[in-house]
Amino acid sequence: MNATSSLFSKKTLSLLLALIGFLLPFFLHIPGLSPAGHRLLSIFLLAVILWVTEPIPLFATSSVVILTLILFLSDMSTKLTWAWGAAEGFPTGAPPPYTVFMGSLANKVLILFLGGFFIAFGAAKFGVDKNLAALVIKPFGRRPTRVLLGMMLITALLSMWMSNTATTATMMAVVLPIIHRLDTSDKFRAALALGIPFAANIGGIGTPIGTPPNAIALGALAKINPQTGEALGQCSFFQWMIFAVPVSAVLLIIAWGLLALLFRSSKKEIVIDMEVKWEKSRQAILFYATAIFTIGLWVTGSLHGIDSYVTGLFPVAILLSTGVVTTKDFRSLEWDVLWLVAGGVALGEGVAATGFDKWLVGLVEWNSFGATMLGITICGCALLMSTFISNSAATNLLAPIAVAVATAAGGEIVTIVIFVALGASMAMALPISTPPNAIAYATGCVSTKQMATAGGLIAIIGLGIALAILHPLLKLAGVL
Amino acid sequence: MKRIAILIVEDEPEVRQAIERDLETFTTCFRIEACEDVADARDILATLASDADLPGLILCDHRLPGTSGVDFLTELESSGTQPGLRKVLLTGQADQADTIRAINRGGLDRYIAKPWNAGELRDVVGTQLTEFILDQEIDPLPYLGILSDPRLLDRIGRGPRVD
Amino acid sequence: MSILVLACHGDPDFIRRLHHAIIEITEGHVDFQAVPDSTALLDHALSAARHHHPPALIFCGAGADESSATTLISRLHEQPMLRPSRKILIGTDHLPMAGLLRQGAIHGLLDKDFEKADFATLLWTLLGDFLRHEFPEPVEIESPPAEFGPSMTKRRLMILHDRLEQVESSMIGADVMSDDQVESTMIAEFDRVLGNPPRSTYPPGEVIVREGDDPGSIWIILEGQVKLFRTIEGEDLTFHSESAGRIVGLMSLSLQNPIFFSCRAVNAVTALCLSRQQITDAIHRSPVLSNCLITVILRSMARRNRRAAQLLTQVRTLNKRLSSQRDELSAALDELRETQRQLVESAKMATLGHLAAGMAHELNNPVAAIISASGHLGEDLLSLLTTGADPEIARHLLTGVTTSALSTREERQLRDTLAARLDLPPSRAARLVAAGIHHEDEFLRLLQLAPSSKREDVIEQIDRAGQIAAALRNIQNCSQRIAALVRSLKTHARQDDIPHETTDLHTTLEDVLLILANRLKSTTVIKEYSKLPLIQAHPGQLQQVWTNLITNAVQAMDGGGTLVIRSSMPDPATARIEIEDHGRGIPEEIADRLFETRFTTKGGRIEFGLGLGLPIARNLIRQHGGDIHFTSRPGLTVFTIDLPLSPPPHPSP
Repeated sequence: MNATSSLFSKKTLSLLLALIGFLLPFFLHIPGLSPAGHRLLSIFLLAVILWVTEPIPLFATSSVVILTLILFLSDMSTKLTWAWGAAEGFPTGAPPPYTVFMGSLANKVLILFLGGFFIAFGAAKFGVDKNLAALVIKPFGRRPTRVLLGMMLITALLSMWMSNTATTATMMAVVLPIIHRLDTSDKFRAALALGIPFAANIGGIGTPIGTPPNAIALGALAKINPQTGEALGQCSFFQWMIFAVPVSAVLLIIAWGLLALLFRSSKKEIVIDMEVKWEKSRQAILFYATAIFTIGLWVTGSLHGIDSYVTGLFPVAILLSTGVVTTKDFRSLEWDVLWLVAGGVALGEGVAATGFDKWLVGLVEWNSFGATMLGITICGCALLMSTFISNSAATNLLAPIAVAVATAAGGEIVTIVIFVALGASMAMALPISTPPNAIAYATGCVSTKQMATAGGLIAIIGLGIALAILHPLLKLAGVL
Repeated sequence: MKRIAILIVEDEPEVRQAIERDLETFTTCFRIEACEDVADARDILATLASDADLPGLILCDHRLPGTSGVDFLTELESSGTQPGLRKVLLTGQADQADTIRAINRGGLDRYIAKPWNAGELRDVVGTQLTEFILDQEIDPLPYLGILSDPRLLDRIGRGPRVD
Repeated sequence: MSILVLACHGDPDFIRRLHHAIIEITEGHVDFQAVPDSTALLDHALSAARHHHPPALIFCGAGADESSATTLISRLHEQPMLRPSRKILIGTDHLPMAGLLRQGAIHGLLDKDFEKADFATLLWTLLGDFLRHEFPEPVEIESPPAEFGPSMTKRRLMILHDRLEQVESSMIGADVMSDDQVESTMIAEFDRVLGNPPRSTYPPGEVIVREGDDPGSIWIILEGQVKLFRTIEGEDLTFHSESAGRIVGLMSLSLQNPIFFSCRAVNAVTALCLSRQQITDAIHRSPVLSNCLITVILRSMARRNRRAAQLLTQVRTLNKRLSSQRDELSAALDELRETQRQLVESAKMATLGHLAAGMAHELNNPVAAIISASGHLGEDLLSLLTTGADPEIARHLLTGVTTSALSTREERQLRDTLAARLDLPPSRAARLVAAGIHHEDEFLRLLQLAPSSKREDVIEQIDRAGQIAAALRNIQNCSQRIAALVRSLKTHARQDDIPHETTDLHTTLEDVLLILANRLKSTTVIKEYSKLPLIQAHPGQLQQVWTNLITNAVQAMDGGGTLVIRSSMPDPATARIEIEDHGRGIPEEIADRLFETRFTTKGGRIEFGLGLGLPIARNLIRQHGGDIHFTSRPGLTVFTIDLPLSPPPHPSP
């Protein structure tokens, strides 16, 4: 068996499949689906296959999605009558202007996320992450279960502001030496190795910028309802935190309890030697101030009236103009993540604009589901999908559907969409579920079985509880 | 997946077996190939190329029948066919002139004197492979179980993985 | 008072060379002084500056600690009195030099292996700088600024030197009366009183008066020069030439002794010959003459006296020099003897050093393998004991495994086949191959030995047991190799004065080949041994000879090539060993001298003691009553050693 040839054929096969999926609706007539809906189905199938099988990078798929949406479904398609022409059957009577799709690349959610990148970048550059870790772990003492709790808490806190993957990599470097000092037979190794990725996944839920699914969900909510001319839902940064942080905290406690229970330590004490060394250069201090200022603006949004999305521009402008983030740094940011999110937002626009949602909703008698059942189903779908594919891609695909279904079923759009993001973030049963899991698995300190047991249990128990408490929390936050 | 290979070039079977055994832990993530002379090492390099595997590290004795270790390393370095290949001389027999030549013209990365210490040997091999992975911008994830350098995790954190 | 050059450097040879160079270049116009250390240098320079002038040049090096040379320069630089002195740093590898250069503390850099021509330029430039600074006037008078260069500086230096001389001589006191004046007055008076007495002329070389003649006249030399000499043991010994003066024979005349010095004309001489009567008359008639005569006699006396004192000093100095030269000679002789002894010793040490180095290298591999194997043995035993190995498998493997004669290529093929057929990971299959399992049938048979166990466990046991067997085997092999090495070294190191013993020539050759195995890795060794009887010999000495010849042969082939070692019996009383290489051959022009002491063709490269190898080899062979000779052309060199089966009772030296 030759490794490259098999890889090559798999890639080719995926691309071929995507092309077939794309072309299929052109030759089929699906009853009840408008011609525009057919085109959207083409693009949707293309996106599903590309995002699931990943023959090209996720963000590349996004660019393909945006381009095809513009070419086939926007007012641009009316100028392409020689090729395929404009589609018929838009609910508004005419295809949307192409700027709707292209604009997804500058969607305000992306700017919010960009602000988050700047905070995360500075934190890593000036070692804020490691210093915070050293600072927070101190009061937790030496008992193994407490050390575990401390480590998970730090990871979750960092993950609220940094990507789950980066947080896991940083914290794994802290935890690995501790793990290597334990006997190879000590089960607690698995607890520590799993605690970090789990906490990173859970912590990511905490803020809109914690992980892309959150941003995609916000992007889906920010969409203007063409009928009412209003946004589908409103949720500020702070409002998000009001409901999400308690959910994170509860999930974290559950994860910690489970890990401590499943993998008991044979040791009485664990020694950690981490030192706090704050950088005190002019640039570092500038960054600290900017970060505190930005986060302050975010959590006090209602007081001053500066929108969370606009706040996202503050760190960008300040850190760029002061040279704390250099040109080289700026180029190294995770632009691919922004494009990935943009792809999801654009797809959502397409779904709504073509009446595809109506058709999809018409397939199933949603009303018989009831609000709770609907939520569980959607959330379960997100969990299942993102266990096998990227969380962000899963949310990209599911968020527009969730909006449609919720609208059709008369459910709370906001709740349902947030369920999707939550479900996507909770997928952590397999090494392939999320990059944090992959890192933990790669260290060799944990087996797939251990990960599946712990990750699966946390997802199911955690989600159950989260679903139960989410509704009142959303009420409390004033989102509903 | 492309595998990273470790090449051992040592003519004495006892010593060769000892090295192979000392590096046993690396077999989980790396392909280890042992050869007794330079001609055989060239064969292996050709095999690796046809398997599309990457030679990551060569652990070479100096005094070998036929072409000497230092000459071989120099040849590899000047041919430029093995970019990034880490070169370690494991020998008790190169004199100073040979060693200087190995460093200046063979692009030698490390020198280990015989008799060696197994732990030290593993450390050197681990460090050199880490450097290779970082240099060649190979995804470090599959190697975390063997290589524990925090720089690898750092690279993953800044890598292209999306949540 | 003169121009001072100071130098400080730890290497006396260098100081000597520097001194010679400076004296030669400046033709002795400067005063060179070497001081032992930096403190002395500073003291010396400051005291010179306080009393006369600062030193013109200061050469700074330092003994063992090179960095202190730069420290010294900066200390000198801090002294305002020493500002005019030009400071030269010896050696170019000083790290903190850049700072000093920036401050202008260093004016010159002198490599330890300086070229005299370059040095002359540097020296004249720096001397010029110094002189221009310290003695500005001569420069302004003598040299147009454009013409600045070594020759100008040299001129300036000489002018300066002359000036200093003038100052010195004026201090001693100038001549107030001129000899010529007195003499011409005297001659004029003689002419006047005696009525122009006749002049005699003498061609060059003519003896005017001879020692032992009766004193009767004096000679006043009017033109030309004479010298006074005595004939001692048939040889003319000159006593006065400059100091001869113008009047000859006066002393003997006044004392009425026979003539003491012979007098000879150096060039054409015109003289006035006066008898005692004429002189007496003249003195009576001219009081001026008497005065003049007294003055001339006094001066002549004084001059000759000074000359006599000089001669005496010269004799003393010569005697002293002679005796010190005699001491030096005898010391040199001792030294020579010692050097010779050391040379012989160092040749011995060289062979030993070769052996020790080869030995150490040879030992590294087996020792490394043993250390490694014993460590693994522990791990495997532990693992095997804790898993509860099946005794059948363990017995089979631990007893059945022999040294693998497979090449790595073959091992790899076996591994890949085994891995494919038994569906094992390659690393596991590789270790099964190492454990001696080369075919899947063998493996399946072993599996049947323990039918109750799980396949995975059996594989693990086979793996571990195989590793143990391999480790044991490696330890045994390596120990035997070490033992063999130690054995051959023992024979080598044996003392020379032990009596001849019964020796197998082939064994001595094999021992040497074993010790040199590492050097011979890239060389093909062909042994063409005939049956040889045992001979009476010193095996250690013979090994020394083989070591030398084989090492040379390998070097002549640049480490590769084919080496042939042949043994034969040209006649029933002689054993012959031939060592043949296909290297570059021995050039004809040096072939004659190959056995001369201290001759080596490995020009430039320091091969410890090898220059003595061949002469010693010949000595050793001759001590065995044998002979060594060679034939050589490019591509084929054969050294032939003939040894009698039993050596003569008294070996020829």
